[in-house]
Amino acid sequence: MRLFMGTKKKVLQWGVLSLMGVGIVVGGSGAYGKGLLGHNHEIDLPIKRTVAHYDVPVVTLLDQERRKIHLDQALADPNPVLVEFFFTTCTTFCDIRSARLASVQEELGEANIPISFFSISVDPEFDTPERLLAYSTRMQPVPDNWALLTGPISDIHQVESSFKARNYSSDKMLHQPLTFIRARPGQDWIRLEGMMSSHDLAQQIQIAVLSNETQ
Amino acid sequence: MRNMSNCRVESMALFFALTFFLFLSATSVLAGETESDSTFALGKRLYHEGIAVDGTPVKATSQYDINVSGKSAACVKCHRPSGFGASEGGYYVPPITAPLLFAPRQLDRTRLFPDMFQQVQPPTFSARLHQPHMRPAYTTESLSVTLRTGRDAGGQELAAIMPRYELTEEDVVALTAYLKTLSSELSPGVDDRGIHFVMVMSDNVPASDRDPVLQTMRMFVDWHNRHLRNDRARPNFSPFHRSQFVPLERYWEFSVLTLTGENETWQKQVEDFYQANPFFAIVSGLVRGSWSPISEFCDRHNVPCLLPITDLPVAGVEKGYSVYFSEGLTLEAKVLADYVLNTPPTSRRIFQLAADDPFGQIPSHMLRDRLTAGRPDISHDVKVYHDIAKLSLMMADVSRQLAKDDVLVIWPGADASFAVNTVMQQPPSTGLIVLPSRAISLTSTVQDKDFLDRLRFVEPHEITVTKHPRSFVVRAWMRTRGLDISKPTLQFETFYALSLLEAALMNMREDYYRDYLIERIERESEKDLNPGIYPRLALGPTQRFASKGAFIVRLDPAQPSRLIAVSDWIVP
Repeated sequence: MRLFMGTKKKVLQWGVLSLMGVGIVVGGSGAYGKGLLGHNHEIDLPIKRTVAHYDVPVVTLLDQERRKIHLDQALADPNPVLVEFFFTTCTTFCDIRSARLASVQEELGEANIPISFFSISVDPEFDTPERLLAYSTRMQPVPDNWALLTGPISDIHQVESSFKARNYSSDKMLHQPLTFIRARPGQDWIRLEGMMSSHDLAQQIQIAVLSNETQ
Repeated sequence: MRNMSNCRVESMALFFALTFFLFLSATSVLAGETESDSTFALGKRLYHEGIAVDGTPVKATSQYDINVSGKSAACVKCHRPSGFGASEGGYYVPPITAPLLFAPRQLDRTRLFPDMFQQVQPPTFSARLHQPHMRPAYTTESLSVTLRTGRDAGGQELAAIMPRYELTEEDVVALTAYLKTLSSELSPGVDDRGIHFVMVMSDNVPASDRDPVLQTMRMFVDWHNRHLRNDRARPNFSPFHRSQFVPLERYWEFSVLTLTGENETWQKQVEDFYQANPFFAIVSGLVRGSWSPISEFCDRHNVPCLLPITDLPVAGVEKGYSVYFSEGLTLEAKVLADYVLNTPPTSRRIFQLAADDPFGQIPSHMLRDRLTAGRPDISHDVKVYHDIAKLSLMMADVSRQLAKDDVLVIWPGADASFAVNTVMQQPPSTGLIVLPSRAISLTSTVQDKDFLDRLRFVEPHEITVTKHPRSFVVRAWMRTRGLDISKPTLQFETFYALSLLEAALMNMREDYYRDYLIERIERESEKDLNPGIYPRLALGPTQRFASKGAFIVRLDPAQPSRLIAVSDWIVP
């Protein structure tokens, strides 16, 4: 089981959030104090944040409109980018993570930060561009600059491996809630493991864009 | 445990909820049976589609501030049709079936054990399992509070990912009416000793195909029952865990139902058999004809129909009670369309000769539709033949028109041998000839080298079976038991269906509910049980076709029983 792996050039644990993790493990209930970013996180899975370098492979994937997307070029977008892995028949958190993108975009828009989203399917043989399109329109509102990607399974595996997100048992139900943020082209990636609110995610992106940490 | 201030807020909410509930109950009693029926139906719609009683999409907030609504917020999304929940990505989704939700939570070793130790999950998952979340039985009132505030009946906060819903009391009453029935009664076909399955065969399948499938099934079932008998003969043999699960397992009883006559009468034959001998599920089987009548039976009675070997499944379905290896001839037509559209030259003309039965008509229509959608200007001609004489004439006619780059596709009828023999007797002198996979075994006698070079098949199976480690395990299993492997693909498919069934049942404990079986099958198919008959076999929630692509192949000139792929794995 590949858990919490990553090229850990710099590891930044959030004090409060990791404390919450400990809280979970010891099995207590009740409040563990006010969350770092203003929410009252009473019970939640721990979130881990690391900064790492990933080499995006040269692969061509298809988006929800059947357009060819050269992933390495697309992720070198001058705007900040966010990458997630998902699949359309996922039962737990994929819908919730996708629903979050629109509000993240809105919050960043208020701070004048443009962003592009890339959701890459880990079930590419089932998730045809048509299914990706149907999935994306289920989210209301549909965020702008959102590419949902599919492609040959070997290419998808290559992308997952490059982000240290590959689950070698090929069991898609074991996929982890990972979010990758890159503030500027050529910079390192911020890797977030775990579920977080849209406000917390938007804050993370803002911090990444405004700080020089990932240069 | 319960926080006092929350308690006061809750008791206010409870008071209003209770008043409203009493009012609703009174009105429903006055209205009689139909009212509760519609309440149940509205609750069912809320659970499965996320539509509130007033017809609008239900609204909820997950993970503190993420707004979800409608289908994305429907209970079924995470808790699944059975209510047993799906564990995914390290998130434990607790079961909410009627017997568990409306009873005080109890720590049940046999229920916790598989989740804790038989699943590969991150530490956060087992951390969640170690929080017992003890609580009293849910009532409509406490459910109302929980669904809105995320605080459970024991006063503990639920995980942030569980949406907090905006529900009216009517919504909660309707939902409760439905939840009270969720996996509330064990499905028919199972008792304390055994579980009854049916394997469906059609009488038009030749004995050379039928017998190896039946022998494989009998051998598998026999060994399953032998293992169980052996375990039961040694009470308390393992003080740790195995002996606790042996009483939960069941002996398998397999009946073989042979369908006779016209395809349209099959549904009634299965219905009649089911009324006389209720069974839990239809597993494996081999039919020559459309699966549609059997699929209708399965959906009507909510009976899982798992992995039959058929060229004519009900294509395009998501959800439903039939689970297939692939989309059969529909898939082959889609793959062929992809291949033709994406392989130069673009000036190809396409000719189709199709039998007048579903084996000819279903794929030829699909191919025509896909070709014309992909390239509206493509030159394309479909001819339907009703008998062999007609096919022979059409062959001669098309042969005269065929040019070097053209493609002739032949979709034989139920008995493929007539059409294949006709093609082999009068092979066109030029052009590419394409046949479906069901014709492959009939062409091993082709000697004409020029014809061999131009003959292609669509092959949805794996070409190099030995790439898959499990193929060796399964072959060894069969050999050591003296099973003659005369039809490897059919026998491996049968073996896969039964081993998947065994894996799914293993994790079900004593929760023998049919919806749950389908969900376990979806889940277990992610594990590597594929004996190499397809490159990949995996379902996923609501997916009904385990393999999703095919190769275009030709026969090896040096050894015509071997296949060579001339395309990549094409997923249309």
